[in-house]
Amino acid sequence: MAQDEKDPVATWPARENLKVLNHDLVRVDARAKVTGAARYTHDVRVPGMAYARLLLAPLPALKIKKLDLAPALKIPGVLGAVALETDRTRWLGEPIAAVAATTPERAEDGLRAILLEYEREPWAIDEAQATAPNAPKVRSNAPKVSTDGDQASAERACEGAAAVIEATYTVPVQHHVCLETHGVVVDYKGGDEATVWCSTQSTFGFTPDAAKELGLKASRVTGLVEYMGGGFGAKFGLGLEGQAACKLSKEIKRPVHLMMTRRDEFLAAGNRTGGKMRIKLAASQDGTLVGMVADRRRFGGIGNGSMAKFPYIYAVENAYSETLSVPMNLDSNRAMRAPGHPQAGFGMESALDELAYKLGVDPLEMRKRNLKDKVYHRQLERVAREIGWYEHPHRDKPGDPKAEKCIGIGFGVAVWGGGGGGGTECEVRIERDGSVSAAVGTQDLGTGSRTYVAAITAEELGLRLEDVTAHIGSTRLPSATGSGGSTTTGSLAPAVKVAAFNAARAFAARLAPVFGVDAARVQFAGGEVRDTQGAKPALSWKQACAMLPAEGLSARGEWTKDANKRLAASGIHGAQAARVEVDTQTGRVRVLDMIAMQDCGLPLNRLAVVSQVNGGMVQALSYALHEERNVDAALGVMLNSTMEGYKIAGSLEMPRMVTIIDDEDERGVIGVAEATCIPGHSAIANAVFNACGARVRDLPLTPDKVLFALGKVV
Amino acid sequence: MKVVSTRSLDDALKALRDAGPDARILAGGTDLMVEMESGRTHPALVVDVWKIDALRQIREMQDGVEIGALADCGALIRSVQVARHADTLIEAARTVGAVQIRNRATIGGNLGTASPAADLNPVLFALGARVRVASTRGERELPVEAFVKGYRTTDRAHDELITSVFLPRRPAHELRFFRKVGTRRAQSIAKVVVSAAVAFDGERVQAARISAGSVADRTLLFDGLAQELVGAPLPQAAKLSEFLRRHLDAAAAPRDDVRSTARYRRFVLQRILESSLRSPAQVR
Ligand SMILES: Cc1cc2nc3c(=O)[nH]c(=O)nc-3n(C[C@H](O)[C@H](O)[C@H](O)COP(=O)(O)OP(=O)(O)OC[C@H]3O[C@@H](n4cnc5c(N)ncnc54)[C@H](O)[C@@H]3O)c2cc1C
Repeated sequence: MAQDEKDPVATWPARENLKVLNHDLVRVDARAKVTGAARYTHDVRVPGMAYARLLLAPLPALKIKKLDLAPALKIPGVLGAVALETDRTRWLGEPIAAVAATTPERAEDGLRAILLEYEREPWAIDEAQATAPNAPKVRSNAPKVSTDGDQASAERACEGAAAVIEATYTVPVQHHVCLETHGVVVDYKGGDEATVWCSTQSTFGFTPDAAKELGLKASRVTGLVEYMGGGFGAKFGLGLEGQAACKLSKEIKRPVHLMMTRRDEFLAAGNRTGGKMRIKLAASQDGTLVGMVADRRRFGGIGNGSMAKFPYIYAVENAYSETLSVPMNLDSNRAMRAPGHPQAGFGMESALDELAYKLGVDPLEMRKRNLKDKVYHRQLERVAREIGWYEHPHRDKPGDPKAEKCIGIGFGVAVWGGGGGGGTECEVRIERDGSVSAAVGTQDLGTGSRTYVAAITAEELGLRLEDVTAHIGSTRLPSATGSGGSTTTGSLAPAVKVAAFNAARAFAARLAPVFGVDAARVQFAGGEVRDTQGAKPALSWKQACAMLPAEGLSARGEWTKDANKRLAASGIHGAQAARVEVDTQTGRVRVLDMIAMQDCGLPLNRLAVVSQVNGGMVQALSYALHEERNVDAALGVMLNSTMEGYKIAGSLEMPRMVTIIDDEDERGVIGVAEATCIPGHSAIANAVFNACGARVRDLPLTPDKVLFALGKVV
Repeated sequence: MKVVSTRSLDDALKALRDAGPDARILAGGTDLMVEMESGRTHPALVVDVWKIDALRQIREMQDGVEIGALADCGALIRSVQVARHADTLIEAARTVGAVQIRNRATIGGNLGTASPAADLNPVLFALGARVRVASTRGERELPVEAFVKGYRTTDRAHDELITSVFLPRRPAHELRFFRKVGTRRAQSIAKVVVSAAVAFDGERVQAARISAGSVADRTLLFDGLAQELVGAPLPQAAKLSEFLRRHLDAAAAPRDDVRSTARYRRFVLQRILESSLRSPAQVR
């Protein structure tokens, strides 16, 4: 305390004293987004700009015999073409060439004119092909099985147990389906400078590579991410498409606009790992998990795939698992919102649920019994109460499938980090006219970072949200880390807070003589500056700022371990419950309610937290019921590379969604984006079982699988 | 590719006559543009008929309603005449695409494509629609089930244009329904779609037309089934189930595809027909 008085440090005020933070804040860019004024990379137009399109490999594995771009150059309007791969392609959709033209349509004409001759090579694009005895070698280094735990003791524990279930659970390859596809606009006309807009999760992540492609110094290339339409993990780095755009721009010395088409996006912009989990899970009579043996496969295309470790979240006395990545000639998986967790969660939550019903134990109690962390207990109990579990007529056995409409409830839990790290810096400026800005090069993926940068600053200076302008999304601003792993809030918030705090202290020091008091007694609150002891009348914010010199005042702050300790934290939970209605005539599942309880430390913007959780639930609902990449292994094509064929949940599928922010969590700020999409689909699948006894172990829960599980369709 | 755009029916018919089989008619374009975009169709000539307002009219007649081929789903939904004569057509139109699609998707285009998954066509089958087509050679009229001849195949000669669809006046006591099971609740093509019109004389079935889509290579009319129903009250529970199974197994030939599986379609076809036929709420 004594030290604090000498050299005060930035801390959050008590929650009840917060005026801006921890409130429902309409995001500062809401109007711009709704009216279309917000300029996304897709919207950028610069004079003389060409439009580019990509030629993608039409089949999963090709030996290229001939790639002749000359015919494309003869198409009217085509300005240039570049080859990206001239030898062999290893995955369906791998970019081979790119064409730039005066219009997108002409660029497409150019693609059609390219002469491509190839020989097919053997491919593997489903599990059967990839694991066949003489399967083609997809990658030069074959993946190895990794193991976790002791097999013998896990097997022994299962043998002696009161109840065991053994089943295989599968999850499909899901796509990110960002509303804005991947792409860049490269503003380069020759010379030694360029500006590159990119739809990315990392402002500072793509610029060095763009500079390299253009043959420029990194310091002469400005990267911009004013607005971006979603990434969910798939948008890091320049990407092959960005490289192609830079190559074209360099060649034709004109700005190039290259946004992937929706089809390109499905084929070559990443996806969520699919997987298969064979699980043996055993429990004692009271529902305590005693043994688990699992055999797991990850399907990440030419990538490695990801799947969180078992036993996911739950405690199992003796657990063993083997995991193997099965490479295929398909686009690599990329990080997607909580990489590996929704998959592992589905396996674990389903197996545990099955075991609960087998033992006749209430599945909610079974969860609590095997969750050591008590935060889960309070969250599960709360969502159970909100969704009506305690009044639900059948809790330890499923409802009667003879009814035409069956109602059921299910649960799931989540875990995530959400802490920040170094590399983020912020500058707060106070101008003589009273305006205030906070600048940091970070990006806003739709998570609301732009809003809380302004909000944190406003809170510190005793202003309203609208009094502060946040400048983000440019490499000309102070540096910031990429948005992955829900780390942005934990990285950004302390930096902004410290910058605003330093600005306030510097301003207080200037104003202290005016009040004739010590700087420590100068306080910023309610749009005024006053002496905490009221010796002199308060000044309005504008009056106080008018005393600044013409250059105003600026202060910086950065993320440090020390600031992090005081202002941020890591490690969140989350519990969700779903209530569904199953139509036993058609097998259709309608999700009626989804209730989430989520901790996130100090909520910077409660409305943004709720929309993150809602978004997580929607994505999980869609994963549960609709989404699945469909490939034809024999033909070597993707069957649903459009949004007509690849259905995501629509507005009519939306359930009643309730998000309860866990206000018992008194820690500093924590990122909340990822945990929210982990439990939903498991809760829905478990609710379907609770409704009518249909245990669907293979997502998505399409109507035919539900009827099949009910034994109605064979 | 050439495009002829005209406001005159005669000009359109002449263009079709002169063009030969490589021409395609463009109405709302919600099927044709998709086909062209995917590279399945490369017409030499497109005859754009969208602006021929004479083909957009919906007229109430003594014995029914005549719907112009260019009436789009939005117009069907808003039409009081259609509401009076073909309520199930409105229910079907409401499930087509989303608003933007509905404002372009015409009844003539739904027939013209003759997709097995079309939503309006089963209703037209159930209501006993007659399709009117014209060419420079003259006009003709044929029952809708004769017009739809196979997988995306119709009886239209290459110089013919669908001008309207005629729907006869409904009898007093009729059980009518339309049901669609899609991948999701909006903007989705049917996994199974059914529609029927069963007229009663007291308890007894006087006439019946039962149709389904997405369960064979084309929209089906279950006429064998309908014939057996006529003359007696609808069979009760178990009997109806058995009766439907017998007929549907023979008539339907569903397939596995991206949207669903054959076994699912077979099962659901029977269940939704059965429950709809049993539902007195559907008698209008
Ligand atoms: C996103 C989307 C969603 C859709 N959802 C549905 C749905 O839910 N249910 C459904 O049934 N359909 C759906 N469709 C398909 C389509 O909208 C319908 O089949 C529609 O009725 C077609 O009408 P149109 O006027 O757009 O036809 P067009 O595309 O203009 O024409 C279709 C075909 O009919 C021919 N044709 C058109 N008019 C005539 C005429 N007067 N005489 C002779 N031939 C003619 C054309 O040559 C062409 O072969 C959807 C389409 C899209 C793109």
